[in-house]
Amino acid sequence: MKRFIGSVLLLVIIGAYMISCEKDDICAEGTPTTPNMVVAFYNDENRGAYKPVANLKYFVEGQQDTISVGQVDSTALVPLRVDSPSVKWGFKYTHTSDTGQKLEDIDYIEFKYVTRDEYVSRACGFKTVFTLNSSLPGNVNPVLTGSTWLKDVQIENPEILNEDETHVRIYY
Amino acid sequence: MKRTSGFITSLLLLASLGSWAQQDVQLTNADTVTTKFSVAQSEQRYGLRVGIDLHRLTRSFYEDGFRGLELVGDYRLTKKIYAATELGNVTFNVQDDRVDFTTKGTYLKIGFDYNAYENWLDMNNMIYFGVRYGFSTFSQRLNAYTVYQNSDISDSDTTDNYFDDVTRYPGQDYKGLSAHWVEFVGGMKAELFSNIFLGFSVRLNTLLVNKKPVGFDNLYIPGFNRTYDGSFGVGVNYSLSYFIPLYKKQNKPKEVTPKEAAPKAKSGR
Repeated sequence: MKRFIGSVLLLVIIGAYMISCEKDDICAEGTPTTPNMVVAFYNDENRGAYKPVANLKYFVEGQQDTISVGQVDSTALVPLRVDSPSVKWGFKYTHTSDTGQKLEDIDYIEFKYVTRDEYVSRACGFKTVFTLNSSLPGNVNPVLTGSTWLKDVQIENPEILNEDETHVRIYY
Repeated sequence: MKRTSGFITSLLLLASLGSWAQQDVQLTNADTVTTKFSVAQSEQRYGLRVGIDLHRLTRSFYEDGFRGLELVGDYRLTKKIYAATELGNVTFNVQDDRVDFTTKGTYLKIGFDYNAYENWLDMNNMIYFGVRYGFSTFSQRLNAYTVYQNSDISDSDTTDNYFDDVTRYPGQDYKGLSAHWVEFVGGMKAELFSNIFLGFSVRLNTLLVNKKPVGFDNLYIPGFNRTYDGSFGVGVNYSLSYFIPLYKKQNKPKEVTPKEAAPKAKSGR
């Protein structure tokens, strides 16, 4: 009888535990979710060579939030809007002129793309991946506006599925 | 809310077990007096037991988005072995942080229970272990999801994603889904009143076949429950069932002579 009551108690406890506990999992770090576009900066005079940018800042046109890259780097992660087929980023380059004057150059690049949502997992939900539109005569992509410091933009890899490779080259 | 009601149900069950235990004690006293007689005369009742799962029924009332019904049944084959089945239908709207979906479907489980409990006299209580083969056909509707963005670039002025959350409402249906699984059951059934049984069981499930939709997942399967907490699914039911007696069998009447019955009663019963 004792063994009976014991086993019933055990069953009840296990059962109560099973209905009451709900695991609250969060999207694990490192899971491939919505990728950012990887842009690489190249030397306009020597097109095969990286040219790291110091004090690079960038922001979406019309927005206050600015992403600033602390270290001098030749690549930057640029987020794309998942709810729009295009986004226009302003790239700000701070440098000192020969006369010792501090200069801020801002050029805009508009990126046009199509989005596609993909299921990842329950905790991460869905991610959005992007395909940059091909650059056609009369419908150039990306669109560079102003050229105070940026000279040219070229698509290297239109499929933005992860952040492992460069998608866009910027020459300056 | 969920936790509280689960606890209350457990308490109710415990209370009912208390009365069952008392019943047992009374029989013990009676038994010492008439051991020989009762063993010789003890009859096993055979029949069909049909019932309903109280857990899913009550959950339909207290939990928004859940509507479920499970019918349970078992049929006694031998002294210890029962053929058992569960038939259910569930509509469940799951609203997670990231995804909101509705699963709708029907399931059937068939298998056996082995009663490991030695009953007194002609009682029919059970502590059992069993196995089931489970099958479910269902559909999923993806109501909404929030895109997981990862635009919190390091060194940025912002601490959150650069862009605001974007929630989409696709309302996409994924039909013709199915799953097969094996279920291990442990449980008990106690006769509260004449022919009325209250049962409780816990279940561990493991999927054999899971036909997932393209572009989404089966996060919930009717009858199997959640599919994402490790490799095993879990389930419970609290059944209230009615026993329909069909026939009685004498408990090995030929073997039991008064001489043999006495030691047997001491050791086993």
